[in-house]
Amino acid sequence: MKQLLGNWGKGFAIYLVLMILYPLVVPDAYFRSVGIVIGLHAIVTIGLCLVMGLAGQISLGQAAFWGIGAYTSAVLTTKYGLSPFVTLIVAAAVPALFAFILGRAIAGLQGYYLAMATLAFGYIAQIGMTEWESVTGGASGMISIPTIPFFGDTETGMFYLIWGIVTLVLLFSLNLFHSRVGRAFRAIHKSEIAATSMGIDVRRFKLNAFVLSGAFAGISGGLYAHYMGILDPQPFGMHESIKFLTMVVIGGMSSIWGALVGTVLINFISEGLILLGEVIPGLKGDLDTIVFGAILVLIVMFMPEGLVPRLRAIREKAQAKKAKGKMAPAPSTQSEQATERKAIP
Amino acid sequence: MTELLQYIANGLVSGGIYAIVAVGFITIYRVSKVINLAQGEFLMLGGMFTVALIGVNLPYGVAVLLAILAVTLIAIVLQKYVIAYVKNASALSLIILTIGLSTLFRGAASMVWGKDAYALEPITSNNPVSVAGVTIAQQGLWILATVLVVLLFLKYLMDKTMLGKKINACAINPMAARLMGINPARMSMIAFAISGATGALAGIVIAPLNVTSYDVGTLLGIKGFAAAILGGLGNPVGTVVAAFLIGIVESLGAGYISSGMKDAIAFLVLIAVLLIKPSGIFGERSVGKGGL
Amino acid sequence: MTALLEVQNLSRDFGGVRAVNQVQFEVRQGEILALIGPNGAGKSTVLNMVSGVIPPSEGEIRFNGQALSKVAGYEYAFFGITRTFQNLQTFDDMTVLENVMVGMHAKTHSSLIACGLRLSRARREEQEMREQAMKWLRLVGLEPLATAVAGSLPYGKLRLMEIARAMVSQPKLLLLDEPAAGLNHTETAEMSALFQKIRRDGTSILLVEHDMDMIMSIADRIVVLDQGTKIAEGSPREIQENPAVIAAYLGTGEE
Repeated sequence: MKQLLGNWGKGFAIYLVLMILYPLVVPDAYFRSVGIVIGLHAIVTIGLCLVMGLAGQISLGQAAFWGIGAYTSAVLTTKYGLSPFVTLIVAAAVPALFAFILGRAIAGLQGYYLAMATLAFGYIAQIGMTEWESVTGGASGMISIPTIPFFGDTETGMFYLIWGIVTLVLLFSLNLFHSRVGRAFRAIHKSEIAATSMGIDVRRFKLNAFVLSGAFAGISGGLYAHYMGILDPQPFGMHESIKFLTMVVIGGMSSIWGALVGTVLINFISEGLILLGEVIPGLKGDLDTIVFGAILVLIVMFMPEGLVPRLRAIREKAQAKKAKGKMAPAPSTQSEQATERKAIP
Repeated sequence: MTELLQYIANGLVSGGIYAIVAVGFITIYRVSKVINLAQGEFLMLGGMFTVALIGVNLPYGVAVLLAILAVTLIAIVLQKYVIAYVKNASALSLIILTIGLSTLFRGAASMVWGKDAYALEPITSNNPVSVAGVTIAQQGLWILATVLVVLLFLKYLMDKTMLGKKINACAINPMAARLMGINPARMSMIAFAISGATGALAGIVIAPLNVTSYDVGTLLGIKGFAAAILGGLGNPVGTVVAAFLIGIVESLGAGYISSGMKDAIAFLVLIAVLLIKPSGIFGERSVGKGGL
Repeated sequence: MTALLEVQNLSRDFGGVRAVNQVQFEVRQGEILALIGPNGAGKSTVLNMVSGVIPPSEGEIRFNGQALSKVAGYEYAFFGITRTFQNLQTFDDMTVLENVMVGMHAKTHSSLIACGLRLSRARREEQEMREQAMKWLRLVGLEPLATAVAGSLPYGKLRLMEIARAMVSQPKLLLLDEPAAGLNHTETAEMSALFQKIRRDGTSILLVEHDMDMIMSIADRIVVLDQGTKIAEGSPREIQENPAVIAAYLGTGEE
């Protein structure tokens, strides 16, 4: 466990404290459930961040993997009576398998083609969920999905289970980011040709990123199913996939923490919009949709790197200014002509 | 046999719509190398604006004209202030941008007009027409007529007019075009305007057949995109053929397999094309990768 | 000296144009072979074929006697062939150190799972990669900038970084694609000294360059291409005095 922890220091400690205290300090069940949903989403978005920010690909089908994981766990527990602890693992494996097959096929695609292929897959998956009535219960879905033993007895229990998994996923991804494999992903994003020249099998790595994102989405889906107790195909479509996309984009595609921050932010906004919708009379339509669309457009136009990298850059600039102010004027050395920007994990 | 012909006839009508969407895609793509994923929304807005304007008692013709004008304006503003602004963005960013735009339009439409479906009156009557034992709604014929007019207009524009030649020049070699005094940014804007106008027209003409609502654009956009890819992302004739093909295959699938699978078919075709021959049936090799 | 890299009948067509035509040469163990020629001679194309970026239309490439025709692009590094790029393919949002550490990829093996779980083997390899990378940064004089983001570095330093990145895995053959482009006299001289050290330490070099000073001072042999065909081969002195070479550079005015 200590190995897994590595040396993530202050940021992680703050996260841990906040996360552990959250369900204990919030006033009521509503906030706890929001916290649970954020956790479920975060597992998905961290996986999406690995695919997008690191490997530089785009996936508009994460909600489909989420749904496949949910249905897998739901069906295995209700129809075959298996324990959720077992089915959760299967729930990670099945979407990962789909991701493998799909990823293998689309490994050569890039850009728009990749985006559309994942979108098409997402649609097909959702149609599958709706049409395969004998297994999934069709459009009306499934009910009476068992809760997870022990943890599922209380909402607080579920919160800690889910966020426990978020923490593991977070650590895994942060470790990955700073490792040989993570650097390989990031290299692929910047220059596939250079990455290849250093021995990186670009296709295989892209596939691995995709499969990992499928596994993460799957396990989150399984948790979702046992938390909600009921399932239907509705939340597993394009709208949700775009929501995940927005979370990663606003937080910052190239940062794992960014995915987490983005998820929290978008969920806040989402809840806020629901409140707004109740307060303002005669408000029709999807407030969500227009706001998320606007966010995507504005971020790409004005802050394409995302919130977390932008905030870091601002902090570095401020630190550099402070350092400059403190130093007495000294003869500048030849080698320091470039403005250095210190990098932070 | 009549059944088969009927399905084919239905497929031709939907194929025609996909053709207009697809041609809208490639008009913009050829000039600016951007794939405008909000193309489907131009259709949606065309239909919705018309419904709204008729709702305030404007005559059909005026409503149609104003609606087309409005969408064209929106397309121009889009190009000038958004797309042009992020000209140097990465391919990934551009994709996210147009997805955002598509989402934005959808959301805006849902807020202005709600999520209900609206019906537009057909141009002529509701009574279907029978041709060789095959039934087509009259509006269906109007759709095919519109498709023909739009395609002929675009062909004339591109092949015979000075403007068309300028646009083609930009498509083939923007640098050389600039050296000859052609402004690629301006051509981009015109391409967007054309896509907006034709898209709006298409949306208006199909609205009586499928009801129109805030989210019609999504599926149309995806299917039009599939047709554009299948057709090779550049070749207008190929694109149109591909669009009709998709429409027919979809119709046959819905008829012979199951109607719930109708949409899935277009997606399966899309995936199949992307996997097997991304350069499309008629496309050149170099187009194939899906980057920019 | 034994031949490390052998290139025979190497040709490449682009559409109807034959950019490289039946080129034949070899790079011997322990030497610096320069590949020169006027613009459009096909030098970069040859380099791209030798590094596995594009496949030849005709001909054979052998490395240590083994044919490279069936070898995938990413496997060249495992053979010990690395390269730099004419148009700088650096990883701008990673630090200088991280950029160079990527160069060690071919020499390390930690899997995705091992890296995510930070297993002991992964941590050990990470340490190794870091040490090797730092060693090379020291060698090229970039140690103080190790934690700087690559995107903030000036051009000349990025070129050095690319070389460090290509060398950190101790390749047998280093392919250099116009490494001196855009550098001033001092920087070029320093780079020349670096290449000589690299040669002394056992890595052979195939150098594509325009800078005659660098070539004349460090190349053991030179191959001259013009419009896709080899027109001369020999020692620097021989090439300088070769009338065909002189004509190619001065003659048709096609530059």
